Amino acid sequence: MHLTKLLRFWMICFCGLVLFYSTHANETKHTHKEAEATIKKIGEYMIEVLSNRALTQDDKEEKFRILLRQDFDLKAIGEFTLGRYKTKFKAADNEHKQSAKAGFSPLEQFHKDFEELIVEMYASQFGNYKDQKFSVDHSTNGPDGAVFVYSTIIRTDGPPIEIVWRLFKIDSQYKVMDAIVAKVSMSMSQRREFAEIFQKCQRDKSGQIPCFLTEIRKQAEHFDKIGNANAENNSGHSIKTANK
Amino acid sequence: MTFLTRLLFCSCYLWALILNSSVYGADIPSSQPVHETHEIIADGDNEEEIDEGLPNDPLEPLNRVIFGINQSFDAAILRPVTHAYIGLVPAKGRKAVGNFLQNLTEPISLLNHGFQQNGNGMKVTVVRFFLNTFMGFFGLFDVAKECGYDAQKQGFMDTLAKAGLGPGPYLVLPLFGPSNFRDAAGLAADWVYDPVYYVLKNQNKNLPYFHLGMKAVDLRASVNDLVDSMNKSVDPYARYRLLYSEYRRGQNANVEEYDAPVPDNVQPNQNIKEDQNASHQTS
Repeated sequence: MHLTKLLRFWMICFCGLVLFYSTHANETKHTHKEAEATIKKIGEYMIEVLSNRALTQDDKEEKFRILLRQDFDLKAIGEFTLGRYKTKFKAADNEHKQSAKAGFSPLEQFHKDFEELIVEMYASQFGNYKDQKFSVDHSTNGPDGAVFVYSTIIRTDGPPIEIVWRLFKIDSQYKVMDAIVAKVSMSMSQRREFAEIFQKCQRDKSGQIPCFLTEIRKQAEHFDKIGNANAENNSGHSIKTANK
Repeated sequence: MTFLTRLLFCSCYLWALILNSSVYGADIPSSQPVHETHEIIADGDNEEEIDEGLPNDPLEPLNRVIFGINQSFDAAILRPVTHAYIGLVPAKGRKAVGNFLQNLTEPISLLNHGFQQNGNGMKVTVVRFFLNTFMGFFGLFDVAKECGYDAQKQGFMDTLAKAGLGPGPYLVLPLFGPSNFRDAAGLAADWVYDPVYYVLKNQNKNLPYFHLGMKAVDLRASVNDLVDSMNKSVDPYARYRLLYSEYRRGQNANVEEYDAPVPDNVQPNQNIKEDQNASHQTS
């Protein structure tokens, strides 16, 4: 009798454990599937946009901008790329608020210019698209709560390129926080590039922040020109609309 | 070039490396997790800022001159040859050439896996070399990859990085392009003990140079769009320096340990817990 009770106790424990682990495994799988679906959607959307010959360079840029706003946490990425200079921006923001000046605060202006820079920088590469294929391979849970989705761009003119996407769930939606292309983090590279610009602007008469903002605006304009030139080369005629 | 000259050349690089390590100190070893660290030293009214994110490039004026020469060489010779190669040889042919050249680097990888005491890497490299040489028509086809043996390319620069040696200052090498003190020494060491060099030289003294030229064209073709876009950036020199440093930093690092943006309202590990709670509620 005693043995039967003990056996029953262990059976219940075993069943409980099996139930717990099976539910847990399903949840983990569920987490990954949703993040993978986000990346798959991004990949398919971009291939559709890039391969659509009816779209002008401006149309493609706008569609890319919509994607960025929807699926990327541009605010967090932007502030990360500022690194320690973020505190300088916050101090300048406080000054702006206290002086009750009209217009955008320095940080708001940065977010605006940062979005423009990212759009123009990546849009300048649109002309290089040559029937690449995009596949989502697998995903893992990151150590700090992020989800990593591993994907590959299969190229016809070179070895495949691995892209690891770092996502976080914000307000029930997965948002991309970083893309690591061939082990190079895009946000970290941008941060280092910005650090160099800040360093250059250290002794600027107009002030470090205005100089920095002018520099990134110049970069955006430069990439815009390259994007337009690439689009013209690819189509053989100007497809850029005049009303930008 | 005799073995002695090559050895002397390599020794110069290694001496430069040792001097670099003692003068500048070792940077973050590539095998360590990549984290950005900042330090601000306030000294009265003068704020001296030390930022590890800034490039370690004390030789910038010299590097820029060599970079300019390399760019001219690329524009005049390498780029036109690469474009002709891309135009004349179909993608499958270029892939076969790439596979063949990759197969010739396996002996170097084997030695470096040995230096790193990486038994699995040695095994994979040996299997890859024999499978691709005998079943893949002298390496033209990557049969080993189809069998689940992915390339684990390692050079002496990786061995030095895994031994904990920092990259040191950025360096632009004539013709070879972006590098740093550690990687340049690694490149020189690979050049000295590469068995393929001696095998090819025994056949014909010009064959090693042809091999080197083919490697340059194959590499340029595989990153053609990237190189063209980097050349169009505001400051191509700074762009090459940044991407090379980031690429090398990532080579022996775990991407999941990179420093990266985190949303304001998400605390570490909150993300998964929230997701699990949501699943409980839905189920």
